[in-house]
Amino acid sequence: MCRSMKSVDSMKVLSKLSRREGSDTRPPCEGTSRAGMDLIWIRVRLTDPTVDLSTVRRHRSRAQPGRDRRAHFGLTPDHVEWALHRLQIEADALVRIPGSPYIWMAEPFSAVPTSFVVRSGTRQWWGNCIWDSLAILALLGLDGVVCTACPVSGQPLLLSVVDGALVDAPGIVHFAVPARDWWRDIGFT
Amino acid sequence: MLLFRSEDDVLAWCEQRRLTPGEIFDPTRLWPLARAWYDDRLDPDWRRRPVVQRQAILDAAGFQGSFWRLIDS
Repeated sequence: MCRSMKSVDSMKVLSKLSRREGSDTRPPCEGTSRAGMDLIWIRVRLTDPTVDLSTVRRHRSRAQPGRDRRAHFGLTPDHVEWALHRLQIEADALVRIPGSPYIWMAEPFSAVPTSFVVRSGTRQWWGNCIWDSLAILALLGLDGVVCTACPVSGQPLLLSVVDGALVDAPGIVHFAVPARDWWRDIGFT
Repeated sequence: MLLFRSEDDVLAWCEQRRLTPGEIFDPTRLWPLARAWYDDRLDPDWRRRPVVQRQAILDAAGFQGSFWRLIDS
């Protein structure tokens, strides 16, 4: 298993912030979908210094509604909505499920189940698409697999990353939407 | 941005949805793009790259042509 310099740098940042808040020093992606949620809450912390970072380090769940996030972070509903709004509209860092307080995606991570499961050791995440799924392993600097299935035939397709290289890559990728329109309907893209 | 068993499956999928097929390519081409596109994503001060930089990443990864233009030039 490899770990890229980028991942190491990110861990250093988290470790530094964590020590400042007197929290634990576990790596950011130790649990299921931890990296994605940590990424989100780091941004919350950066956009509002009143958020207690120590709670970020203990945060383990996915796609929690505002009510549960309030419980974790001791925030008001308005505070949560404000922070998520800024992350989506101003920072372009996440997408919420339309008309709901739920986080849908923080690219390349999906906060809801998809047909793209990314696994590395005992950890797993959901990717938004085949591109994002490979990107999860790339940005975390981890070896692992992307598990999906052909949408037409249903044939399982497994892509493997070993020693930082894509060594097993069956199938064929299809981008249906031209680049200029990728963000017009990100769910379809 | 899906992964199919074969090009025939891509065409069938598009036909079912009455879509014009987009771009089709081998997954191995996507790996370097995934690495480059997201290599700043964990930075604490992350902001989406300017479109010029994003276009440069696509170009460098060999994704060139009108389909891959982020803005009309």
